[in-house]
Amino acid sequence: MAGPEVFFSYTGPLDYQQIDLLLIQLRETGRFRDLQKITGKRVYSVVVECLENILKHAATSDSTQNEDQPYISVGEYNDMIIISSGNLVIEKKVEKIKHCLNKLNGMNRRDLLELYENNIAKELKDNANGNGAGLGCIIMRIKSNHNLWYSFKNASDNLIYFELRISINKYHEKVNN
Amino acid sequence: MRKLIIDRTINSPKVILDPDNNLFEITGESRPPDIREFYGQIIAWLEEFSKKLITSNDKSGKLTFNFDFEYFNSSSGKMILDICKILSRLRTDGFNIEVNWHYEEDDLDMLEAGKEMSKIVRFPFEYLQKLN
Repeated sequence: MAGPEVFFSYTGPLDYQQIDLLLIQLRETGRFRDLQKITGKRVYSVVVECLENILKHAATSDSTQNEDQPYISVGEYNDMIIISSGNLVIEKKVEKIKHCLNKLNGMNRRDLLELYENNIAKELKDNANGNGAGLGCIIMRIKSNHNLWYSFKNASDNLIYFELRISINKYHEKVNN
Repeated sequence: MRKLIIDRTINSPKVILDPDNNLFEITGESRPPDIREFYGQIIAWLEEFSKKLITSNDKSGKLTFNFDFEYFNSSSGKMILDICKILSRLRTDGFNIEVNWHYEEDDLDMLEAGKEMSKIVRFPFEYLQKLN
């Protein structure tokens, strides 16, 4: 089965400056600019959350192997925009990530919004750094309106390579207010 | 009270908190790298402003806050909620506070985000659509 036709991608280390550059590049990509506004905004939102999650939570390794590097890509497949990201994580985080994503995948939109409401104030109190990955994942799931696909595989230095794939419908009905 | 004005950058919004000219707005894209530093100064200003308002007990004027985000990330959402909570408290205390939540035409996600904020802080916002 053919994968998405990628029109934007990056592999390598991240910092906030790199994220700024990548987002500029994404916005200037023709295929992105041609998207309906609401689709483009959702894709942008998910890309930001993916990049910031990688920056804040990814494990680092001395490995220079390409398959251990963080990456992000945006592509199109069957009228869906597919955002894929990958990064190293420490093994003890795997079950927590799985639990979080499985929980989100089992929820409908109303439940997700309620979870968002309950978590947004809670994370402010509980997370001194204000950078909880949970809220970002909730937002990605809401923006996508599809299950989040993920995988884990063994990587170098006893780390695990985590991949996440988020699908967003390319077309949305125009709303007349 | 001194005003707080922060210029817009590639990853942070323009902020105008100017009581002398009755201008209170946050505009643009919000994903600043140091979220607590950026929003911390805004929240500190609003807390101080609240104290002065309460001390003066001047409830005659209408204070309108405009939120006009093109985008904000999940971390910013938490901080924006904190700001809305301060405004909601002032409204509960009897001050004439209005919040305008702007959104672009067809950007129902931004409209929904405003409605979520409004619901959480129990403060009815005005929703203003910007036409393309």
